[in-house]
Amino acid sequence: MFSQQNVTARDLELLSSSLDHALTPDEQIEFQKRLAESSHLNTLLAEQRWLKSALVDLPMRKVPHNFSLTRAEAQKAKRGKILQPVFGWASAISALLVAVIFGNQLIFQNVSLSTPMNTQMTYTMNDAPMDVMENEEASIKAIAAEPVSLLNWGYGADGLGGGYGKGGGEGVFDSGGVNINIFVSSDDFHTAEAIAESADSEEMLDEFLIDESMEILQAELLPEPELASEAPVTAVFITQDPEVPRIFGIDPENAGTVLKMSPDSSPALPEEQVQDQARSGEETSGKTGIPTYVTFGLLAATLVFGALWWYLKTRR
Amino acid sequence: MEENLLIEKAVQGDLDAFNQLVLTYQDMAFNLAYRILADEAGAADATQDAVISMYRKLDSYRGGSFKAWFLRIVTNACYDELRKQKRRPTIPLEPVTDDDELIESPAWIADRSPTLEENLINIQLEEAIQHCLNNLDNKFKAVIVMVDISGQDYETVAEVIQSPVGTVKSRLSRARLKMQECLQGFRELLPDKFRLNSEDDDV
Repeated sequence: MFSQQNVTARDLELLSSSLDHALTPDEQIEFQKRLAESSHLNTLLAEQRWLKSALVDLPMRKVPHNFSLTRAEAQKAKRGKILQPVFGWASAISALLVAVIFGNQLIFQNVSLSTPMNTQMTYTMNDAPMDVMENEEASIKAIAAEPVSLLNWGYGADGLGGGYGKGGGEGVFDSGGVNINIFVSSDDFHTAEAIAESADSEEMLDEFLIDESMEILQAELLPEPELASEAPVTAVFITQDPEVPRIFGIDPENAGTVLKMSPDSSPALPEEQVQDQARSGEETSGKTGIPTYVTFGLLAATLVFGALWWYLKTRR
Repeated sequence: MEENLLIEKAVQGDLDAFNQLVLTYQDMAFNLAYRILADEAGAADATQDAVISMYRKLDSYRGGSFKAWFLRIVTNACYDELRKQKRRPTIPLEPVTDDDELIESPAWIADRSPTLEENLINIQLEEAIQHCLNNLDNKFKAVIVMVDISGQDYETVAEVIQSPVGTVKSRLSRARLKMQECLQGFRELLPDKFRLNSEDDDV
């Protein structure tokens, strides 16, 4: 083994550079000084000089054949050059689409979860144990000591979506239009227990909300002769015309959320067809309406195109 | 024809100009590959791959030293070949005579120098050097081969390995020291004065 006493890494670097005549004048002076101080460095210099000459003298190998390309090889090489970016872009676009789909699902889920009424009602109706439901019911009754406005629906005097717009909070007297307000007193609440006991809770809810709200509407609107005279057409429109915005149904799983704002003009579907639709709905991914197989197809395409791109990139 | 003109034509798709550039540098490229891989067939594969890769990447050539660019592609092709060899190690076939007798070291028999003894020593020394080169890390090996065997300057090597010249100097210094240490295992091949010095050092 070579002894490396008194020889620093800097000395070795200077020594190496001196073999290639790559020392600057300052480095040359520094190296000469070190050579004068260390005999071992002199020995190393001689040995490395020999090593370098041995490496330089290694015979050059003759090439086995020319490496120039024929026309066919050149065309083949260029073809690979076209396919590789094509697969690369295809993979990237597929990945982007998959990301957008998953991102949409995530956003929809978050928006859905952040809707308080929806969450609360769904929880109450489906999942909560009875004692929790009773507690909630009591607290709701306490809050609803005064009539609670469930729905406030306003129309501008100049027509739908006019100066005040749909759902405007302007009062009847201020706006000159018509406001429909549904008030429910605490006595009118159906308890969860009662609903649970009901043989057909869906029907009960529907009947209760539609009948009760229509009665209240009529009670509020009709006793006001001035109002009736100011907007007689609208009043008739509300009570008789089927196009009046009304609540047409309540999904017990989404109770508290307005599901429909206009009558369904399409004929009622047979029950089997409805079930088929429900089944196919389960196969779609989230609320984006994109079928799951499309998502997974894109995911597979991303992987396949990516693998092809990588193969073309790394192949010989 | 001037190199810049050839490069310009090659970039525009002139295959003849490209091939002329290849012929200019193929010896250097093949020998670099051979010293890195220590295998003639592998070196030929790596060089051919490098040429094809270079042809594909011609439009991404952004000036500078064409030689350094080519050598960089060759070096990368060699690293790929080394990785491939590592994944699938191969056993070279030993040549046999017509009577199916094994030829142990056919290279020794080749008559390439004036005397048989000199030839033998040179071949043994070359094998020893190649053995020591093979023991180096790739990053050290590439630098010492390019500087000491291919005769490239520091700037070109820096361009090939895409590192500063200081890194080249440092790697070269360490590579030479490692080579020197490794060759002590082949003292009988070293000049007499180094053998004595080495024995003194060991005492």
